[in-house]
Amino acid sequence: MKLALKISNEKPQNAQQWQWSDVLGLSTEHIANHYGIYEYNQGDMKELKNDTIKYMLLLLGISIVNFLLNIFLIEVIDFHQFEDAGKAHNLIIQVALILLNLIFGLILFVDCRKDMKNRYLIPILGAIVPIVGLMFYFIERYTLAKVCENDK
Amino acid sequence: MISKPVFTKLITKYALVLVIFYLIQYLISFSNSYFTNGHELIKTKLLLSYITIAIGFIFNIITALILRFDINKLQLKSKYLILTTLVWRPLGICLFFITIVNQARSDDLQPAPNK
Repeated sequence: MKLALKISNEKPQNAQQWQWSDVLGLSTEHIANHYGIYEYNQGDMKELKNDTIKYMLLLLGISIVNFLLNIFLIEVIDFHQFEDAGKAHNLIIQVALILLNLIFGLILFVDCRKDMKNRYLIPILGAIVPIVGLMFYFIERYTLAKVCENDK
Repeated sequence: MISKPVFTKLITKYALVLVIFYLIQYLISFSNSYFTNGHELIKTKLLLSYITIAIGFIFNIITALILRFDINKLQLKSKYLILTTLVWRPLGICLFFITIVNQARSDDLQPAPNK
């Protein structure tokens, strides 16, 4: 009982104390709430998994659309017929890519706006370079905010 | 251990740095294609492409300097972060964040000093 009181009044300092808290039946959630320390639980892991699959499919979709558009344009545009065909091809691809990236940024914004501090900056970054915006999103949502101390 | 607002501030800072640098790079490459008509000399085209690459590298150096300041401030033990940032800045920045997280977690799990 003394040990339990000791643990519940002090922040667990090392792995051993965390293990004691397990032995004494203090849930991780209880410790997290009490000390403002966050540990992953099943719900977060499921959310992380869903988010990973969603964004992986989105990035894959953007690549496939871009690839198919490239092939389609090469088939459709007659490069011998007019002078600026190459330039037109590049322009169409660039515009399509910008639109796809904007859609990606919008989807990122929908996920960010709920509870994140950088709800505008990360989607903007995602709209410019999707993979970088996505890395920042995952870092802020699932890593940084949850390992640091909660300044209550 | 670093507090949550400091982490969030770091994310904001580096996201802003990346957004600004990317936008400038886009503007430069856009102006390159806008102001040239495709009939320039090969030398001019090469020069323009070299300038674009050089500007990207200058941005990498600036980011690396900012990152070095933060690495020293947070006393992170990482040898190759600056080098990675010089090659590709988003990767360097993300590795920097991962290093912070890793350090925070390992500090948390270290045995308490004997009193």
